[in-house]
Amino acid sequence: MAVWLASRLAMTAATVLVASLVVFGVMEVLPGDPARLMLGMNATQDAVAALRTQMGLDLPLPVRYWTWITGFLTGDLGRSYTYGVPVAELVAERLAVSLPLALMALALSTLIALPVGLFAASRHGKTGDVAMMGLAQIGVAVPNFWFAIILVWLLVLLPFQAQAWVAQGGLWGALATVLSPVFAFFQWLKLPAGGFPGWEAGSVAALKALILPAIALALPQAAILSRVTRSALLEVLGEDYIRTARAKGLPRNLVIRRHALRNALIPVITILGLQFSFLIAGTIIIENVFYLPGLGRLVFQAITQRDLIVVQSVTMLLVMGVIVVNLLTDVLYAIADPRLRRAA
Amino acid sequence: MRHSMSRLSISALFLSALLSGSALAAPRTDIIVGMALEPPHLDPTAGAAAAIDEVTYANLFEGLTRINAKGEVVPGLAESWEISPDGLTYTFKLRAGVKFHDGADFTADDVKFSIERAMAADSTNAQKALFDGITSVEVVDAATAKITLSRPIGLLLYNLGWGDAVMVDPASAATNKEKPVGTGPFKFAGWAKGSAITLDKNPAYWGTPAALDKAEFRIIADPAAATAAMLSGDVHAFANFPAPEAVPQFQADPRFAVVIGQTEGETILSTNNKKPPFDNIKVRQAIAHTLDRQAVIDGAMFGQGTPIFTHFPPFNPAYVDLSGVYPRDLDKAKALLAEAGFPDGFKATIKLPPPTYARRGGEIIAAQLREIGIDLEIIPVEWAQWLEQVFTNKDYDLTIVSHTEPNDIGIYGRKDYYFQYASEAFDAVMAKLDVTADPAARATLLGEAQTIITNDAVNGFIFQLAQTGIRDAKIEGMWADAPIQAIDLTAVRWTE
Repeated sequence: MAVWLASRLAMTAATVLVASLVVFGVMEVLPGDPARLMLGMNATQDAVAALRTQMGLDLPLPVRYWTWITGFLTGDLGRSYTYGVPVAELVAERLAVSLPLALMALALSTLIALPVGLFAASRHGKTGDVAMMGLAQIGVAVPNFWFAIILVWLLVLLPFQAQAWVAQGGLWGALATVLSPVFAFFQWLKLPAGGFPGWEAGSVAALKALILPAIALALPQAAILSRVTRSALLEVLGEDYIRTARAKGLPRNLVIRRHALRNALIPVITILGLQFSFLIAGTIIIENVFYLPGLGRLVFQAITQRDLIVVQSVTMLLVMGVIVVNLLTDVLYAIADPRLRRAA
Repeated sequence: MRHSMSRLSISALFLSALLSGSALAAPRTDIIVGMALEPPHLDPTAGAAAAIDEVTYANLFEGLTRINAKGEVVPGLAESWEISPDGLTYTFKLRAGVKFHDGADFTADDVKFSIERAMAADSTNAQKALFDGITSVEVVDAATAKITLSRPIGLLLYNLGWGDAVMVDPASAATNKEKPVGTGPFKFAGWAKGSAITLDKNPAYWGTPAALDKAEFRIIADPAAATAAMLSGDVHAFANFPAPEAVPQFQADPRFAVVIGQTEGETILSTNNKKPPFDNIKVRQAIAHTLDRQAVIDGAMFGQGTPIFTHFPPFNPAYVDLSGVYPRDLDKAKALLAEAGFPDGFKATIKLPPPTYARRGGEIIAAQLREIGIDLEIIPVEWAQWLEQVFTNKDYDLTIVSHTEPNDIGIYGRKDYYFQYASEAFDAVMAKLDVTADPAARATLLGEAQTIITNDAVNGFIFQLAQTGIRDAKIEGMWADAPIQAIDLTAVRWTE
């Protein structure tokens, strides 16, 4: 296990180095001068030159790489060109939103997907299976920002418009009347349509701001995960040792829980690992729909404003994050399946 | 049925309890204003982003003069001024008792510091050219400052009203980006990056105090999210609402007030006047005869905007109507193209920056020009690319951009400007304008300048950008138009 871990760590370090060169190189070839962008169309040439000097953009390339990477490795991520504050501070602020959001979404999607996958596999080919997998198919096909917009409309805006429908009568009025306790509940709950009040506003307010984005993120992920869980379980359930266990007279549910589930976990863990990386960095769209000050939006904004140092450092952090998650996934594999440990 | 009735009455009770709670309260004194783009920082003297001025202008920072809601120059921190007969010396009498938010007194020393800082060799002021022609700033006494010019500048008082010319305190000037310290009726309270900027009322303000105790600017870039935020009441107003398609919904809802206002943004089909075939005036005239402005306004802007025929805002008193110079006439346009040597048209490119007016407008204009045989390849670019390729390197044929600075017809006299236009006649008019103070004579000269650039068909002039203000109907005091980039909250209040 120790040798296996050491070789994995060495590979990780090499990957980080190559990634840093690529990230820095890409920033260099990106067209557009950050100083000109900041000062706009009317700025004089000398004002732009003065700002370039202030930003340190007139230093030679190797010097800038060296300053950045040595700073980065010692925890100094540099200072944002636009905001003028340390990048580490910005990232910490944004992670306070993105990390809880990603964890909530991951937990939600796992809590939905595993039981659904288990249920579908145990009802293989029956109505329950077909219904669940049909729903999952829709979940995979529908983009999360659409879920987000629908959720806002249904749970935030609609409850306040419903009394007008009640007054109008007719079919919609009748429906709104029947649903009025639900609407009253959401009026009382008053989920925000977006935004983040900050953790200092209290954890209830903060969690209320995060719950809809987390659901919107979790649903498509859960759909994928439940399909993977189901097919992995079905494959394992066809193995000889399962038949043996059944032949011994063990009840079906016990067989699934004790013999099948653990063996089916490998592909599930793989997908979970990939999903977590996606959730940390890939939430730009959801963060936009709910205007959350998360990491994805920071990067997006920094790219359009050519705040290169922010893009560079955050990209590098994300690369490292993904690498670490991959490493953890491999370790989890090894724990779930002893053969992988011995093979290495 | 009885069952659902009782449910209904319970929820009605619930509702009336909620509603009565808010109806009995006194007018609120806080506001949440939405804005689409976050300012990169909060120092209006060190950046061009409109969002900086929108948060800070008049609210946090003030200049010697200020531009009001109608676009007029009115006294700011200078209560009056005298101009010498030769127009070369301006003596400003400063208001007494003005303090910066950190408690420091505002004096003539600050005037000297602020203007000299903007003019300095290492200045990063985005509008450094505003201060061209100032030779010295002198402190006569604590309450009097004197500005001396090398040549008369007709627009000096206007220029000093820009956000880029606000007064700053030497002690806090270096940290204004993060923690702005001005003299305005609001003071900076906090900035949750990516989310919101909050201001508190300045209790020590020298002038009419603000009606609001607290103001928050909330950043919402996504149009659908902006609509949801207004509808749910999370946000009370947008000075410039980013989703024109949702406007009819708000117009129909009595909870909201919608005001379509004017801006200083001339949206133009900028043309590279030195690049063949656009160096040929006949080609440019052919384009001018082809443009259908209303089709662009309807198709790209949901009908919001005013057609223009020169580089000047139609609401300005000095505007001249030049709509008759190149009326839409495809036969004439084709004839002009044939005279220029392109009877079958030609291929060219159009580079489009991100705003909707450019991306959507560009497709419509490309379709219009195809009618006379000009085949445009559409190249979408980001702002950073646009500034580098089009603006700085002049590597373009056509582009669409809105020139949002007020009084910016002077750019047609700049030899290194990206239009690459040069006209001695135009320069002569601008030189006369610089030494003319009389408003009527200035208007005549401005009319001549507009006529010259229209006759030369320098660019395709399309429309004046509108701005859609949406607010809670119970709010009053917001600007309808945007004569300068600002979301001035100094007179904003709730009526109930």
